[in-house]
Amino acid sequence: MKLTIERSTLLKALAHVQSVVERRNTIPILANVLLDASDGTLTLTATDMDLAITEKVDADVSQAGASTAPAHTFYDIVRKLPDGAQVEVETDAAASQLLLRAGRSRFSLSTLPIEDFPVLSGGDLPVAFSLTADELRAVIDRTRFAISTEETRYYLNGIYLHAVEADGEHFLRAVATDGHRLARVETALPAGAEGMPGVIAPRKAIAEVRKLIDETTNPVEVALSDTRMRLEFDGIVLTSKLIDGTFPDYERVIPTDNDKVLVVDSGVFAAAVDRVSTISSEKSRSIKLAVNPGSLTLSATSTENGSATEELEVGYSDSGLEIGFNSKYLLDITSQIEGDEAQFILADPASPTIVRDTADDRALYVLMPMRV
Amino acid sequence: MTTTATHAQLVLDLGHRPALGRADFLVSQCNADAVAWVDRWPDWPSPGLVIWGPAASGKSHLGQVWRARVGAPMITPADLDQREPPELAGEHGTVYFDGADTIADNPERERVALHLYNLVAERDGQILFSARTPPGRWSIALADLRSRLNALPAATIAPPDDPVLGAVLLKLFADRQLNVGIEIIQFAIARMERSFEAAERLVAAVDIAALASQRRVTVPLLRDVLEKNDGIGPTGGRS
Repeated sequence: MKLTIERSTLLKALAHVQSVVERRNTIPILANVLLDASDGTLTLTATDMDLAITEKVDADVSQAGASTAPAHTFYDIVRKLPDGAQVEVETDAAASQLLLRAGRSRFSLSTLPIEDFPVLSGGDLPVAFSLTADELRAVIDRTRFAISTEETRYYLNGIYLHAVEADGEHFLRAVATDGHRLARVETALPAGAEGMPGVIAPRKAIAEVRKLIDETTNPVEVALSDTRMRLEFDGIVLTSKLIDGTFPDYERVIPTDNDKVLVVDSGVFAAAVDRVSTISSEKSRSIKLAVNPGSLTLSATSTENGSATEELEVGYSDSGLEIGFNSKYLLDITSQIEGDEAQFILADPASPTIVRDTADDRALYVLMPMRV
Repeated sequence: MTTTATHAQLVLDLGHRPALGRADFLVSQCNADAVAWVDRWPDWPSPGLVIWGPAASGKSHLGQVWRARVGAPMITPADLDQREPPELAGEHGTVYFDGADTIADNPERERVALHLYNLVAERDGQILFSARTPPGRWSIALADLRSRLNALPAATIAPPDDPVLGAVLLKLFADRQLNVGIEIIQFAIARMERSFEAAERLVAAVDIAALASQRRVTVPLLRDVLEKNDGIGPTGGRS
């Protein structure tokens, strides 16, 4: 294999794929990126066995071939090369070393046999549809904060994607929960997604997808089965296993008879929560909301730090209510509110509260209170 | 929507789906007799069979296994208030009657139950009754119904021994998609009340405590739950 490639092109592709590679690997080949050069294209692939990213970039290939090299080291080298450099990449005669040349810099990296590199096959992916990058970004951003990070709750370690019908309309719905809060967002069901299986896309795959689609404006082609998903755009293919678990029947925790409606200016509310929660203990982060007609008093007390209160003018005309929440959860949710106002639909201090964006009825959040 | 004293965060009641297939039913010495009777169907000597045992001992699970096998509808005492025997008896004259011991002290339910029994017997069908106590202790006032029920074969599910309790705990954790190590099971069975019901309560409380604190299920968490939940049973008694 021998090729020459522009440093920034190589750096961008390497940044994308090396992100999949874990810092510690018990299987040595998983620390490497697979490089495959042919017909003016360099294909880079990295995988952790659950997730694989492949990216194709233009390169001046003078000798086709393939090799593998340590992903993080390769990336660090290219990152430190001067902007605008032309990078020559070549395998030695024995294919045991990958040689890099740029300007006066020379590097030699150990390789591992390409035969050892695992292939994460997509398999048969019977459902295929297309989402705009904007739709996908919105779906991920409004749900990912609620994904559980507790590894043993594997069935909550992702976003549950499924097709639903409501009032004669069809939606693609995304749901995430960690048992304390739940985020549900929906978008119009794309053509081809009818009858798709309900799937749980894992947190790591979601994080990688979100990074990769940050700059694109092109549609993302999604294909999936009940065990695998593949997303394709801008020459990048991400293939991921799906979580082999059963997502809970989340509808049961979305209250239908909450009747106390509190409307707050989301920016003013978030800033006040942030200020008052400075006093909350790091461990509980609890904050109390005392709601009365026309006013909301936020307060926090802590034996170590002291106390804080702040009063806001709000829209509320029901009977008084005191309810506690984790301040971080309130901030997580209000940061997803795009409109000026957030609507809290409350029942009592021990029951789930619904939070909605008054400017966007596609998103719904459920928040469990804290005892304060 | 429950909490523990240490964790003020309440949790969403996300529920779980218990596995109720035949392969999920744990056969052991304590329920072997009941399982043998159920497996012997349709070769029962009378129009019915009673399975009785403590709460959460798997009676309903076994009933569901039988029901799925023979295509029988499931009824509860409340159904006797709303539907007549021909409708209750189902297509094939086979019925699974869950919680049958609670029909006592309700003359109308006893009357409908007797008609249902007679109808099923006429059609050469069978009723599988599940209950917490044997028919002789159901305090049935209607003499004809009482004599018929007392004449039925009755199989008992006994309280669990250690291996069964351990297997039940594992199954209950698995129903909640929680993988726990053997040290959790050993710690629990050495310290918990020895009943199926306590096993169910313990696993539910551990699930909630782990979700509230966003921790994995560990021995310290389990100890915490055992110490703070009086309903689950005595702690530290048999280690």
